[in-house]
Amino acid sequence: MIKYLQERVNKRTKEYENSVPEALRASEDATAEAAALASKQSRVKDLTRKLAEKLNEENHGAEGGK
Amino acid sequence: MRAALCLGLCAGIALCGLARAQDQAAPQDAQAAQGNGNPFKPFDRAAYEAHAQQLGATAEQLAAFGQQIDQLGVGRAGDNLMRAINAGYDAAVKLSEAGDPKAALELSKVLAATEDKTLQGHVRYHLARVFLDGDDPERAVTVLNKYVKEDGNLTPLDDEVVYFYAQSLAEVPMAEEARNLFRAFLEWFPNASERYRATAQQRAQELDGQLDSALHQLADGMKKVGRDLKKQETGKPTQDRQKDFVVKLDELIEMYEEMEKKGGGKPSGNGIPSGPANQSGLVEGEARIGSLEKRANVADRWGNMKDKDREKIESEVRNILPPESRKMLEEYYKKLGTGGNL
Repeated sequence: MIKYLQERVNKRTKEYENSVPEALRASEDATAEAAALASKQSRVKDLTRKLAEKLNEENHGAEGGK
Repeated sequence: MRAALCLGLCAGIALCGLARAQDQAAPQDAQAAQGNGNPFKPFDRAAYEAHAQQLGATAEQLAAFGQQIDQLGVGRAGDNLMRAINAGYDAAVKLSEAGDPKAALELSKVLAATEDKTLQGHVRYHLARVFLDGDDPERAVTVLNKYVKEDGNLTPLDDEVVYFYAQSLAEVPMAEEARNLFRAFLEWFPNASERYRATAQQRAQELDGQLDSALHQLADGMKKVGRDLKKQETGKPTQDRQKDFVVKLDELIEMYEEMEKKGGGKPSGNGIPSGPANQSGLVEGEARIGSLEKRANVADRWGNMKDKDREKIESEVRNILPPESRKMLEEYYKKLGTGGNL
């Protein structure tokens, strides 16, 4: 799922780069869209971090159970 | 091959008291040797010398062994003693030192010809290293499993066997098992060669990093890209980093799938395997015992041999070796023939 979400963010980043010219970047819409894009990237980051922590917990739990 | 390897590896790891609690066929007397899970006892020089005498060692050879212990270490001294006693073994080891593709065959012939467990242990040590040098760590593990099960505590090579077992696991790659075994090596063999200990320490740390931080590093990178996106930096550098995240996620998924297949359980650790282990490059020297580096590319030498020489080796493998060794060497030479890419 994380991979799928990252691919979606990648696609939207590319679309943003291609569809929003420099002259319009300062507009409210453009900055809001960039913020939304950053938020989606942040969401993927959070999920990745959670997965890392979950795996570490499982790893330590398994070691403790030995 | 994978399934067979997994069984062998699991047996070896459990024998070492390290990993998963599985029902393994580990020798109970060896496991009980020490209370800390260490199946290996300190080297018994007197017993080794007495056994060497039974194998035909002369007083001069034993004296040379005693002298070499201080100069070369007990592992190399002991191996030199066995080589002095058994000419066929000596010739086979020389081939392995020269990176000759025939080494695996000749070592296997010595192995098949003797019932002596001590000599078998020495042979298996070299055979495993030949496989390791031939980029065939799975077969090295198979041979070292056999050493641990049948020859442990009989030779002065126990410490090196554990070291190269860990090295083989790292090259499979089985990062977690390799890391655990490198640590066990450090705990069990405080008097092992400092070269081995330093390299084992380094490898354990590297494997730690691979296992513990890959996902966190990925998240760190995503955090940075998130900041860049907010700043509307959506150009090629950012897009390239995002593509790299997907590549790394793919690698992780592949690793977890592989670990689940091997271990039959949940993956533990969250790293990206680095592929074949790094070469230590710490040691130079002609002698194989005590030397950490790989030999010349055996696959290249195999490819450069004349057809009739290759056919002669293959014929001997088919016609002389017992079934177990025959199958192993047939696969080994087949793999050499593909440049190690089977």
